[in-house]
Amino acid sequence: MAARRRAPGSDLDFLREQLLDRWPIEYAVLGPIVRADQAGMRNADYAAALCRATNDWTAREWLDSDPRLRSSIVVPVEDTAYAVAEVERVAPDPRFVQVYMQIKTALPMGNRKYWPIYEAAAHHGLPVGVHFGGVGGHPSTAAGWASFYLEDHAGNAQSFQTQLTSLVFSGILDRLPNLRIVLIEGGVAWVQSLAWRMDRAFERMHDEVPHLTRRPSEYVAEHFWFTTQPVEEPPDPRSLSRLFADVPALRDRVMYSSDYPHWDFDAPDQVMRTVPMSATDRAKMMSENARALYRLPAPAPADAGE
Amino acid sequence: MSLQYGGLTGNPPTAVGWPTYLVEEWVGMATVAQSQIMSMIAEGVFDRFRDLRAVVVEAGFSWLPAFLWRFDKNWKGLRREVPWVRRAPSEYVREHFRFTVGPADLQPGEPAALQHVIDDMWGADLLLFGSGYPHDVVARPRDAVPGHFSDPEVEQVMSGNARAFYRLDEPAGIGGRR
Repeated sequence: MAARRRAPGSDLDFLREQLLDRWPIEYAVLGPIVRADQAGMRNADYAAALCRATNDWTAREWLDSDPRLRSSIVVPVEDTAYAVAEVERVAPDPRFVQVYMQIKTALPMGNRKYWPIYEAAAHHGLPVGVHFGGVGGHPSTAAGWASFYLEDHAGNAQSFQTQLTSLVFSGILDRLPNLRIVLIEGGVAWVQSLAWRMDRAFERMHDEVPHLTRRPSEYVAEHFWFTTQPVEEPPDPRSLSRLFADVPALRDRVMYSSDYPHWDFDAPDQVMRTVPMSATDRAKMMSENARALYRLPAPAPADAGE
Repeated sequence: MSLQYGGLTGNPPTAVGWPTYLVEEWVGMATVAQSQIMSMIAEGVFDRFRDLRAVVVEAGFSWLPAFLWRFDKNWKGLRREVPWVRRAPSEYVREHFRFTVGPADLQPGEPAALQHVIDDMWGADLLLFGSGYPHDVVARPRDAVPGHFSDPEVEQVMSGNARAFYRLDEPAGIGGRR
């Protein structure tokens, strides 16, 4: 009798077959979505236990079994003390390469409530990855509850913009010059317009945020990384090439992401396939930017012939 | 319909809670506009009211291409959820929406980038001059228009587009229309 497979994303052999072995994937960074944020809204002890269990399970069931895998430290974001404790507990394991949050939070991410989490991440040299989804307790859009998943999905991009804005104006990026934020599944192309708008707002209203030492766009270029899936798809793919030329930092900041095992998965050989791009820039996007950010070792010379 | 910057609903002005600073809310008004456009299209407002037109006032416009690239892409993947939305969202925007040019979108240091953004949103067709009076008044109206625009495009933004959109050339007075 053939071995029964579990659902995609919960079965390592199935992951190897569908993703890791099917394409030449050197490393895959896991992003467990455990809804600790939702639980933590009401029961911090449960959220903390869920996160601890998830991180331990990830290490034992996944990271121990395949050397290509890395993962993200899930933390109960709405209970800062527990979240910091979990970062401290798990960070010594170098296979965990970032601290993990979901984009929907109870307060905008720049709020001081969350600063100890960023301090812990920066202390350990870990980026903070922020993924699509989560439950913050607020309507799904700034204009109230949306009726359709379409709005919820496309609207997550607006929450990413809000969180970036909050982080920039909060002052945390001056306080932690080595803090790196990875915005995952939030899109990329909006960053140019948002940086313009923030710079303009800063010109007018800098008195309100005297703690900022530079223009908002400078913080964006230095502290934020982005992932491809679901990258915006203009009718003319060259629009994206122009954007990458107009915002040169993006060449060093955009990383391939698959969103496996979700319905809107992007295959490595399909993503931005029609977008004109130099081989160097494509290599950066597909591997080198992530290698640098997550400090992933280059392949050993002995592996080159395999 | 005019969708004007501001308003209070009782909800936080962001989808992730109350911001700390006014400057966040000011920047974020562009994302509120995006949510409203998305809602009106997804709910089928323009399929029910085919003549309805809306102007987004004081929320900028340079976010429009990136927003529509994402919205169109998601619509392709999820359109079975909203079968009454018969066309790509960008087509509804092109037909039903206009945007006032805000100085927030005009970056003197990056004229080429701005030109690329405007090329990606049908040029000057969707833009209307807005003075911002009495809040954020531009010194010279020409300063409110992208620097690379040709004279005919300037004319479009300064009067032609509004003339057509508001039907200003039609007979004046209540009851004069139709």
